[in-house]
Amino acid sequence: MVGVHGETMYIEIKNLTVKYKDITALEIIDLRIEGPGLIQVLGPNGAGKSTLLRSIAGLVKPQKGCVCINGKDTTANPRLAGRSIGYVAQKPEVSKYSTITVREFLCYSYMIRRQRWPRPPCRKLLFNNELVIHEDILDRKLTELSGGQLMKTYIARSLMSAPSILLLDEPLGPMDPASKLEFADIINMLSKERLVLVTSHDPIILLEYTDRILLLNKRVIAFGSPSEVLREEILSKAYGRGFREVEYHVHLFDSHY
Amino acid sequence: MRSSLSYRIAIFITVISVILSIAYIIGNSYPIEWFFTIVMSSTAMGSLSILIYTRRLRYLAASSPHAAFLAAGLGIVASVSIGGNWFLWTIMIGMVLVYVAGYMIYKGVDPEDSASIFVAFSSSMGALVLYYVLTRYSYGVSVVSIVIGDPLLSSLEIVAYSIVIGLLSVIYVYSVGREIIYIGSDIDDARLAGLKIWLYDWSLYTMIGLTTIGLVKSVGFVIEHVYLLLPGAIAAMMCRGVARSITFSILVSILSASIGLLISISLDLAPSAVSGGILIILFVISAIMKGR
Repeated sequence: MVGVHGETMYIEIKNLTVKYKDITALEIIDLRIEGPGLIQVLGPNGAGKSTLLRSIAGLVKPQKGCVCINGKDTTANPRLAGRSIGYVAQKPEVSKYSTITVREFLCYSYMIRRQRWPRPPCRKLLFNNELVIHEDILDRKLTELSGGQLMKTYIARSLMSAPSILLLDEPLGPMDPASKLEFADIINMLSKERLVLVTSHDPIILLEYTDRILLLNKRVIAFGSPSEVLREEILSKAYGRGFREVEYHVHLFDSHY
Repeated sequence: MRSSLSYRIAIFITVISVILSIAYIIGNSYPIEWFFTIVMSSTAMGSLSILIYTRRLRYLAASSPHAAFLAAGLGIVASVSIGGNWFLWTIMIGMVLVYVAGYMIYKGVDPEDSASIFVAFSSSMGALVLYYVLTRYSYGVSVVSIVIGDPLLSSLEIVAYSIVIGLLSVIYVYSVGREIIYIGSDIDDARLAGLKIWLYDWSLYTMIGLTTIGLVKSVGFVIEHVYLLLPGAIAAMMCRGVARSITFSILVSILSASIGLLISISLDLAPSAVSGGILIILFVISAIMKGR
């Protein structure tokens, strides 16, 4: 419950109901997630994984219930949630006409949180960042980055505010297998001092680093260690017959290496 | 490297074109207000252009001149029927229309859908109102200049407005441009950082509205589309970095306006149209250079 730097890091969700146009996207009666550590959030498409992360970040207004971050009620309050949380959306979209560079993107993220002058030099910040961004891409535009580089930049951006909780929505989605392995190491490193929640359709890549798995299908199906959750009778409750595809995919991934 | 070279070339050519344009106007005893009207109008729209692209407001920007077209017509009707100043009526009516369009986008209506509805409504209503004005009133405001623009016929009021709105746009873009571009790059993180997205959006809608509506008579609603959209697209192709692209967009606007004015006076052509044509040429050159 207490990180290396002494910060508490836990999320509490009580009686949460999120609906989109009268369709229930997520219903959670009672959930407490403590860190540091890596939590994988699994579930089929439409299970409410992204909705859960957005609710925790205060970006979604629930019909009822509350979300507390480190003991503070942050329900639908992104500004308050943002003091403890870094969030990276699924498939970050940048306008093709955007001219912002990686360096500017990281610096602005820091600067907009600190309106008082003098602002600290961004160069120093960039190189204090745990996630090393190679200097040769610092002056590239976001629109000039590959999917993997863009995701790495967004994760680096989420670290600029030194959050104790990190929410990553399918960060491995746009990457090739080699980049996924590199990213798994990065996520593992980040989860040593933070509570990191990662949604995924492919649990195996991060499995060796995963502390707990949260299985969703519009509600919490299971929350426990990988060995407790990744069992046929549990997975079938979320995926029906589809969980075999997960196993099949795991087999495919292993065959590459 | 290429970005840096293009930037320096743009600064050099712009300075030369401004000097030439002013020298030609003064040398031939033309009113210097012509220069300020067209250059500041172009600067106002060019400075907002890069924000329009990054914040994905192209549809709003494309709709706004149509709002100006309708507002200008309704402004004539209001000033004749109720009394008061045509320019103030136009600004008031136009801003209401722009806010309605902006609110639709803010509330999540698809920008393409809202722009389609809005453009269809404002264009047809605008044509209807201007036809009514042309057939019923003998009014001082030139209806033709609302459509194609004529900075050379601008009143002192519009000259002053062009200068003020041009300077205001530049100050606005350099003071909040970074925040708006950040919102356009990562709106979720901007919310987490505590930025008031509605306030930035509202301020940008206001600037777009004040610019397009207030300058409709000097630029013309047809060419306003070009002034608003092309400088940002050219800067996006030629530049890296926020500050540099904003400056480049402004330089391109000043360059096209001053050369356009020079050519239009020399050849007796419509100034806004010539400046728009120069922007199109610059856009094509940029696209070719980017394609290499």
